[in-house]
Amino acid sequence: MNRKIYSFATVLLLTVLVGCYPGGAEYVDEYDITYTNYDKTYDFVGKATYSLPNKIMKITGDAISVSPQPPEYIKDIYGVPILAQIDANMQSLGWTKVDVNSNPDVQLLPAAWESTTIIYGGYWGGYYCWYYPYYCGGGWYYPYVPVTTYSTGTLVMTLVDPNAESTDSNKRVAWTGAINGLLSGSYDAGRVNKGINQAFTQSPYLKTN
Amino acid sequence: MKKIFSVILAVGIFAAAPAIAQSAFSIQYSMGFGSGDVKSFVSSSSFRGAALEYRYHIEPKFSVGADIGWNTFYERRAYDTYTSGTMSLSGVQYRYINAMPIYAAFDYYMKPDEKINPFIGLGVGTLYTRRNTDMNLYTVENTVWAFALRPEAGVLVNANPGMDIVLVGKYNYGFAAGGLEAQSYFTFNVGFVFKGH
Repeated sequence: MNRKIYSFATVLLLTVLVGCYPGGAEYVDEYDITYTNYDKTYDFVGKATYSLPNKIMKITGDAISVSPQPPEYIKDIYGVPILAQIDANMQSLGWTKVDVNSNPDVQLLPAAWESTTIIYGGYWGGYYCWYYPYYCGGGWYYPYVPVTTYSTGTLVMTLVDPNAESTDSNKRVAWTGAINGLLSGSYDAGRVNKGINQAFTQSPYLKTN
Repeated sequence: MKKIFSVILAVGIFAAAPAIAQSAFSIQYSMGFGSGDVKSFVSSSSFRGAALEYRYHIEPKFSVGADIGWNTFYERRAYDTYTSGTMSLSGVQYRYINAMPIYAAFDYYMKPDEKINPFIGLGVGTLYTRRNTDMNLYTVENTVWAFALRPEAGVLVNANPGMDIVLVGKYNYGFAAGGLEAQSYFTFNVGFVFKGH
């Protein structure tokens, strides 16, 4: 009798231990994250204008400094709504959008990844010259050292001050916002917009007068 | 962790089963209730756990032995923003604690000849803690072996000459180590005790 109970208890316990391990994310949007960082010495309040390109650069390779080929951009059907969402958030924080030729206080530069990529500080600074050749001066530098691993789909927004340069002539990054999530079978604008909104929501210091 | 524990469990069961002479071997289901830093990290209780115990009776009222247990604490934290310095990160977080206490055990039995036999005891040993914080596809993991103490109190209910049912409450306290604060949690265990002749 006791041997039967012993066997039963053993089997039951093993079943419980092996079969009842806790789970994790069940839906793709539960993997979505939004990351922001900023230069705490940068004076956002004293700034008022920004520029934004009309396309979003697609980072595809490992090219860093001088890419021999023109960059790719994500399709307008996806890019235009994303840019509009960024505009809406910037303007709600008090910023005024101006043309890049009108000497904006800051330039907001978006870029997108579609694969697993490890981003070190300044990784895509070399792409700067493709956006604004006339400002070209060796990319930009980060006042901090972000080392972040991005996978799947990533949108990065970088706020650069073209008038603030380091000793090595790089542009100064004032703020970075990144949203990352698993790519699903179809494009979900709601997830992207939520991530963009969150990036600005968790960055109240961007508010200007 | 799960595999390691399963192997230990299996080896323990098969090694102990034939050697239950003048001794007792126990299999227990264990529910965990975090306290202190454990509860701060995972507020949910654990209903995934087990314990194996071996006791050798020096005399009817005293035993020495060994315990090994396993409790998994898990919690899904709703979408939130976590800030450190100038960095902020938002997302859904999954938190896990796998705790494996291993003790040398010393117990005192109050009424060894009666059907209901209350007992108290103390365990001295180590508490292995593996703590994971998952966001996106990444996890931050801390693993610590800490010196640990475990007071316990319970009752043995005699079911037949060779077997008791055990109900026992334990308090596992692992001292601060390896960058983690003290890790502590209560367990309530229920199981069978198979006695030697």
